[in-house]
Amino acid sequence: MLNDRKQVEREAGGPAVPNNSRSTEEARVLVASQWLLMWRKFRKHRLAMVGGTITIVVYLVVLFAEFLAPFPSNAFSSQHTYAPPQPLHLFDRTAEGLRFSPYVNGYSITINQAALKREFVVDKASKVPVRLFVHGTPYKLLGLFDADLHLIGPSVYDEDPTRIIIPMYLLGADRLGRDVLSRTIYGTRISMTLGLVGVALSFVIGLTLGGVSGFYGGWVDNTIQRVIELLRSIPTIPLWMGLAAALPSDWTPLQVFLGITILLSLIGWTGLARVVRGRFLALRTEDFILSARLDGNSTARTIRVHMIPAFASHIIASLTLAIPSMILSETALSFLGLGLRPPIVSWGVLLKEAQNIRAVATAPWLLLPGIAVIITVLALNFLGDGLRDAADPYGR
Amino acid sequence: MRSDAMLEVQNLKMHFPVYGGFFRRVVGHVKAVDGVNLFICPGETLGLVGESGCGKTTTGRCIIRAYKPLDGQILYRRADGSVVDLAPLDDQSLRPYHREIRLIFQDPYSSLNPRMPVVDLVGEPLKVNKIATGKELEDRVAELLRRVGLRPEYMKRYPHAFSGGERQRIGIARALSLNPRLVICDEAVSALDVSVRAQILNLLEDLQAEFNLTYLFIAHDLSVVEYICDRVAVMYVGKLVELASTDELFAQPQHPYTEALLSAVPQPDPLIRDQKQRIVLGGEVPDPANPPSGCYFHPRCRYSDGARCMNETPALRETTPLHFVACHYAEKLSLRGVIAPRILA
Amino acid sequence: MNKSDLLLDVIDLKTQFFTDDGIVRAVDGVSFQMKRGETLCIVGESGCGKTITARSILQILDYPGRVVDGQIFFHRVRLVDGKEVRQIIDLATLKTRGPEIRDIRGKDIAMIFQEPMTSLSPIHTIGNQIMEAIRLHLPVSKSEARERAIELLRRVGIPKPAERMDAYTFQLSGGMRQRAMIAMALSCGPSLLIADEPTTALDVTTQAQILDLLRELKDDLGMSIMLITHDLGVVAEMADDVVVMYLGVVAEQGNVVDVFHDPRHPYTQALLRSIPKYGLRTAGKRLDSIRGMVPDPYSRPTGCPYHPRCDRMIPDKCDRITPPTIQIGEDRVVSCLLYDVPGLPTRSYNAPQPALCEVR
Repeated sequence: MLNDRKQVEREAGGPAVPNNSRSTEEARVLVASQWLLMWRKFRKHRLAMVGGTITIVVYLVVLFAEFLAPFPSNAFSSQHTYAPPQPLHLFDRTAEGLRFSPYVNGYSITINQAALKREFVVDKASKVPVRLFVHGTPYKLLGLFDADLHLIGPSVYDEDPTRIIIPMYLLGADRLGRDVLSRTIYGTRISMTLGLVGVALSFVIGLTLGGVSGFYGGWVDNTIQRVIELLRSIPTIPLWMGLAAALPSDWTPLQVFLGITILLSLIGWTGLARVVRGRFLALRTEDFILSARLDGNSTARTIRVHMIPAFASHIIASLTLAIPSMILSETALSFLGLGLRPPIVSWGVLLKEAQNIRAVATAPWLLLPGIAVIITVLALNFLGDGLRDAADPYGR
Repeated sequence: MRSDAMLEVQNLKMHFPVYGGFFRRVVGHVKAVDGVNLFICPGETLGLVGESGCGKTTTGRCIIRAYKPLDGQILYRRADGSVVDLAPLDDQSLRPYHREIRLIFQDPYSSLNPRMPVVDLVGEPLKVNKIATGKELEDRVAELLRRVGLRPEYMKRYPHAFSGGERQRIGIARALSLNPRLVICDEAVSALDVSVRAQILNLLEDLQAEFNLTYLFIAHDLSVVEYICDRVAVMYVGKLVELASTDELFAQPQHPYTEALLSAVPQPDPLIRDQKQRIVLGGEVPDPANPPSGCYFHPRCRYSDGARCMNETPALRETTPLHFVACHYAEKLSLRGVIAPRILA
Repeated sequence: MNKSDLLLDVIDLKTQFFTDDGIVRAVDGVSFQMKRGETLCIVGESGCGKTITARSILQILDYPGRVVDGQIFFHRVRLVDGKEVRQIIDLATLKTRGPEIRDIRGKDIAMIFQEPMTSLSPIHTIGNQIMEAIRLHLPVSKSEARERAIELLRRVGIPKPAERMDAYTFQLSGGMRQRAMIAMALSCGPSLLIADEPTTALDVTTQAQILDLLRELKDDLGMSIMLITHDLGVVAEMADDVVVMYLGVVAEQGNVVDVFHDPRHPYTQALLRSIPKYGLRTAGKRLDSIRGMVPDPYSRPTGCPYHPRCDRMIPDKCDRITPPTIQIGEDRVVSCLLYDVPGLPTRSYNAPQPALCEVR
């Protein structure tokens, strides 16, 4: 037996001999876990990296909206309705030469008697000083800390937080003289949160029903699949309209927000349920699942330890890809006036302002939230694509 | 149950439903395993051979009770001499037997969870069965890895860091971790390269001697089966057609299918290729959902009488001591075995 | 070797895959010759580059693979107006999508694969696919092509060929699919059939049928077969000449009997020792295995690629010097430093003289 053992060790000698040509980098790959491998694969996907960066930036905007927005979302100025964007100048030409002192030009307002409307001309002569990290309207940072710092803002703020006395409309103003930039930033918070919460809810429903469907199979699976097909066959817009109309009109904006979120996830879980079911079915027949069962694992432990980690990455990818559709649904719903209602500010609500042709013709900057939607949705889709490609790093 | 056997399978049946039509109704059954009888003695290696779709893998998976067989008995004699029928047991009562009967898979890629490092993969059975934890577990894993020819330092690595042969060693370590008595090797070396295959075959033999293991060796490669098995069972369309000692089966087969199968194997000696008369079977392996009448082999059999073979299903019977054949004419036929090659290199 | 016997002359072929993780030298200087009318087996373990060699010949490499160096001289004989026209074409220089190589693929050199489903379309009947292959290369009418296709199916042993013309691939068994693919490959009467592991996915009795069929076809149609396989049994049954490959290089080439009964390269010797001897029950005897494993393609050993596993490795020589191709007999070459002694000629390859050939 001793001889045999020697023999075995000799045969295995090849792999056992440490290979000096392998760098430490490669040695790390050998002990790399699933997530590290995924990260390596993900990194190669350029577009996904860009998408991921943008997504992170957008979510930072969500967290620090108050800090980034110069004004509160509802601060208005009756003098500056439909004021056009003011270009930001960083350097001021003074007697001593060029000096870092950001400013925007003020407006000179004329009343066009023929058209009966205010006309704004950017007045090169007047300078409105702008400061970075300026003390302005107080707020609670992350809902916890009292703060009044803003990334950028006019040097003087009104006592009343709902008023704008010194105009600084970097991206123009809307029909009540509210700052489009600030409102888009606050809209980001609502839209992205709704996307995230909605997807989380769909995820819970989808994971449960998809998992049940995939694990038990048979008539349970059949019933759930038919329900999914039924839900998917109903045209979405009428369905949303019907359900949104059912929300009581005396609800507070927050209640409406939650109501819409739940509503969207009630319709949106079907795709996720299918993904979960598909992964379950595929995994059920894998040899390593059978092997886990034969090791004496209980069903619960097999699912928890062997199956869920195996599809977690796929689920994350699908979730990422589900957020854009959630955002788009909200935008569409609010745009139609069925979703969120002012004073809640979401991208959809903001776009509703840009609904009439006059607004678009005279104040095209009102479409800005639309660009935010496009960039975010594209970024999330690229990110999701990259995640999906990296979800299974064990290609043979 | 035979007194010398460790495991005896009697009239094992496993049918899979075939769905069809608009409402996915059951329109038929694939008779993957259709009345298999065999027995395995302690310490031996029983080969189970046949072509793809003959039900050899299904038989193995029924024995380990990954499937619940439709009918039949799987009698297993424990170390203390008591006999249990594994066929009707539920998952809970199977647990102690799953420790004693283990499975080595064919595909070293899909049978190891890619998301677990080796220490967890090999240690999983110990952990789940609450045999060892922590440092003790790592020590046992290290010892197992050393035993199958892998460096224990590699236990933190993930399966993707290993080649096919090394993965198969991990699979073997997993199977050994619970000190099993019977190991079912389901095409355990089929996916491996020639040079690595020899390493694994040698390892399996060493382990058998060291731990007094009994193997059910499922394979389609007859040269490997001849090398490693003590006795061989041949399956054809869900039924066992012949069961005999390896020497006897390869030298004097008694079933025409065995004869054809043996003659079809290409031999690695160019000098005998013109001497051997290969029996090329006509036609195809029948569909196990719709097998022929009588003896399933009769449409392709060159000895078929066209009457009895067509109508009467032959039973597996003992023609000479410990040589079992399912053919009406087993005694009357004189069939050819394998021609020995010249000694190579 | 008589010049007119030569069918294929591969000289120092190098094929590399340019992946994100580096360059994989899949085929690293392969040279071999193939005679007209013979069966040449290329044998080796997975990753030795045997399939890539075959694919390089037909220029059907998958992205990101490319032939980077070497020549593949194909000695073509075609009947033009009843006269034999001989040409020597360097396949390595032809454009991968150009008309010249397309004209050769299927017509002069055909290929069959391990998995027939990869080269047969699941949405067309096999009859249509064979007819299309015929009409692509030959000026025949539809009905003539149909006749020919039925004849081909009959020739490869498909029962009731006229009925099977309208069958789809999924309606056929594995063996029948392989036959259908062979029929398609034969449709234009190629002079060389490259068969890449044609029986690996098949059962042993079906494998016997297909091997018999290939042998029969070769004799009847006078074509040459390049058979790529990892199964030494199949090699012994089929080959006239054998090329043993290891990690992208040719370890040894020679007549099948010589290679099996007098192997020279330590790898061939070890490989033959490591297989169970079928028909010679050697119970209790251990197999002589080769230690270690085939290295991964990114970290090729220096010098002789086999040296880390070789029992006869010469220290400080095999790990440094890439062994030359050494001629040790007529039509017998080995590339191993053990045979690198003065007196034995190393083989030098000369490209055919430009005057002799009409290179298109």
